[in-house]
Amino acid sequence: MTARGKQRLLWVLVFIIVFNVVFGFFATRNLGVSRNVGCQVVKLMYEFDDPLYLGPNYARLKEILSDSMWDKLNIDNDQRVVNSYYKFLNESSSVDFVFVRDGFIVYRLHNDNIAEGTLWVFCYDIVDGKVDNIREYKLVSVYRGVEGGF
Amino acid sequence: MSTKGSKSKIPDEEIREPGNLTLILLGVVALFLTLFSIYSIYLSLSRDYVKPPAVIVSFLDEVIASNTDKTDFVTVLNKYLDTGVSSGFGWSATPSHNWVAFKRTIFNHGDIPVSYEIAASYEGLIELVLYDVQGDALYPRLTLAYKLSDDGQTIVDFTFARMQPFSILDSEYKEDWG
Repeated sequence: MTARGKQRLLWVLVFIIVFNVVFGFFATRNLGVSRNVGCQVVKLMYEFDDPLYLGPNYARLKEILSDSMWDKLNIDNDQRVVNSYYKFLNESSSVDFVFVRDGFIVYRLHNDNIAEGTLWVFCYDIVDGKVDNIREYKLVSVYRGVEGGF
Repeated sequence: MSTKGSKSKIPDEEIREPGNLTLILLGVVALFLTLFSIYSIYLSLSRDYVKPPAVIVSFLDEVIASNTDKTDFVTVLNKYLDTGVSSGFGWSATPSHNWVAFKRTIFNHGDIPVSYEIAASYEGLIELVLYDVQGDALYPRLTLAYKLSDDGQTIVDFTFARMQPFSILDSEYKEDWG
């Protein structure tokens, strides 16, 4: 190969490397974090010894949630607190995951004031590396076949 | 002196030739990064979303089409559910608790659903939105978690439930669910 050919090859390789580094940065932003971060959000919100001391959990949540989700879900939002935390009646709570997929999590809550078999759903998207479009459900009118299918 | 239209060309002998080792190292790095990018694309496309199994789609099609008719409904359940599951319905002249519970989950939305959309599908679970005859969504959504037989032709176990938003901040929330 001539000197000119080798120099051209060098620039082509440098271009490929730079392109892949830039592309890889954006492509991997949402990878690998989705499933873990969904479980992490559920635990930060609903696993506690005392619901009156959720400040540190929510400080961490602020880093994980998108700005719009943070406005909607932070504990200064009275409507959010009543809907999500009243059922715990100031007792401790822990989370038990039943079904975990990217964007869709089914879990149980262990709390003295919540029926043990109740199933809860946490749905979310990852947008620009942040948890967004959160939808939370309680499963009602539940019909199970034999053991449940989960 | 005008240089317009001229193109400077460096003679070959003045070009600094990159070493073979440099080219090989850069080639290896470029190959590695390219493979990593391809793998990233594959992962981001595959994620956890899957096409819903044909047996699940057929089951839902026929359940919706049964339109609360108990005879049709029983036929559908016996066709798609493993006997260990379908026997739990305890068919008799009097509607069993299981029959009422199952029927309530899917049909008790105020209006009768005539179609549905699979809003999300994962291995072992789908999320559904039902629609009435006008094409309006009948909330709450439903979820069906399932286990299939080894040949994928029969549902051997499942959980079927309504997904009721518990936050009034949710756009699908309403006080009266019908």
